[in-house]
Amino acid sequence: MTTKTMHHSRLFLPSLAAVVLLSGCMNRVESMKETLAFAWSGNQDVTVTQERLDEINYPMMYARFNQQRRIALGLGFDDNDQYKWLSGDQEVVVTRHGRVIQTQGVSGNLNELAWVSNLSNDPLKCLTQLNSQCSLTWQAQVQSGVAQEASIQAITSQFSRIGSETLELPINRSINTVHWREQITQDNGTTWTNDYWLSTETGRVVKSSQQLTDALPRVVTEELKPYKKDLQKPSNSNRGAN
Amino acid sequence: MRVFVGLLLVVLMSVSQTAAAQVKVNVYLHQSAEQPGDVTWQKSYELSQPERISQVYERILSDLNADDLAQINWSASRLSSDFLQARLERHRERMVEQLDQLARHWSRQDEQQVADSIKRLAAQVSRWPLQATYSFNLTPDQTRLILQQNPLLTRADGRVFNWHLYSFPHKALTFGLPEDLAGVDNDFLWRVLPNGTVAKQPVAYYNKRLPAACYQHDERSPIQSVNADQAQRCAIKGNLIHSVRLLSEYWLTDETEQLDLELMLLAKFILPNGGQS
Repeated sequence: MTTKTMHHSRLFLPSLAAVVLLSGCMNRVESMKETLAFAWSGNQDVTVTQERLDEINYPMMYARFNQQRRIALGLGFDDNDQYKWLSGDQEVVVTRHGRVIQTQGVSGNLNELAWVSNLSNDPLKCLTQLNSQCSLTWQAQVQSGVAQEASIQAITSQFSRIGSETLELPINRSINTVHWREQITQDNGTTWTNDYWLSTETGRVVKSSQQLTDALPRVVTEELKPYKKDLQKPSNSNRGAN
Repeated sequence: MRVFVGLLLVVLMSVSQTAAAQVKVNVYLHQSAEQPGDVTWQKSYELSQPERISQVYERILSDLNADDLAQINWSASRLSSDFLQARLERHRERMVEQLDQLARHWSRQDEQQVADSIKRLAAQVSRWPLQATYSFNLTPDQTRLILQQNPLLTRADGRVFNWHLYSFPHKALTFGLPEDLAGVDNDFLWRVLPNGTVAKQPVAYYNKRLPAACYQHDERSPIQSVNADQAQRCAIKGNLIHSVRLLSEYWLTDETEQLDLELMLLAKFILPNGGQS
């Protein structure tokens, strides 16, 4: 049988009209991407200065995947509490209540985090609201990869409170936190721990070291410039996470 | 009066242009892995002018609650259209016809057991639950960041677009023929990856250490035939991958030498958790 073209779709051909149509709402993101790409490219750890941070009007964080160089990410979108953090290299890290729930285009030949189930019962959702009556156990399925390495693993998670700590964040910021440790057990029996530091005042995660399955890289996040929405105290706060 | 008629013409032309450009986008949310066909949330959007899929996503953001949104597995989402589905069904008809012809050929050669296997495969192919798909793994963030990954929904590609969103991952299923039937290829297994890539994987004792041959999904031409020259070497490691067992090359005639690749053009569109045919 000869090879033949059945149909060539126009869906994926960019059109000038669409570029113009989308350009208005994308200006902010494009500007952010350019800043991130040009200011902090290269092979070294990214370090953002106080002066530079003052010029930037969007939330930022540092992230490091495994032992790779530290990158700076800007908050591009807040999709109903899913925070979409963008790098200058089209990398996307999605967080929800401080947990990394998806990655896209992460460099370094690392497995992508494609999907996490049961997020509505994630203890971090409750703990970041500074509730005192949080369930500290959680079970989830995690999909890593979307191509030949695509796999699903089941995990169980158990949170425990380590204690109060004053944390030194980048740009000489000192912040009072509660340190929570999460023990993850994967269905193959492997176990490890994740750490989260939550602001005692607002409950937001300001630093974390987390890994959801053994097929995924460890991600270390550090807040650089907080998101204003997260600086408000939770309405149902009863200081339980202090 | 002339001005009035002129204005009327302008209005009529603009109305007819709007109607011509109009497409409908149905968004379906499937949240039950046990009942993957069940729709738990649905919304239809009438587009008066062509829009990018990222703009449809912005509408979903307003209509879907935060927990349901967070639970969507974008790597399992599928974007289709009525036109594409119709082309896929025509391809299916051709494949069933070819399989029937092949069965008749081996029946004439007194290879009745092989002919029966081929008939069985034809019957299965005609029942595969297929959803034609432009894009696998269509993540909203990539569509917003990269224009080339942000499909434009126009009348040229469909009157009705269907965007199926799943809150669970693909379940690895096995399709095709049982390994103990006559004519079955037990040296290679065809695989379908969640991103639409098709792979021919060596699985016999003598060849299982060899790399698989992968054929990438082309979202610009989702149902375009491919040939063996386009294969890339790859290693299959995951556990979320469909398997399809087809006929041994020995039983393919000159007219059907690419039958396995053509059948995989169908198999990659089997619905997530589509069930055994």
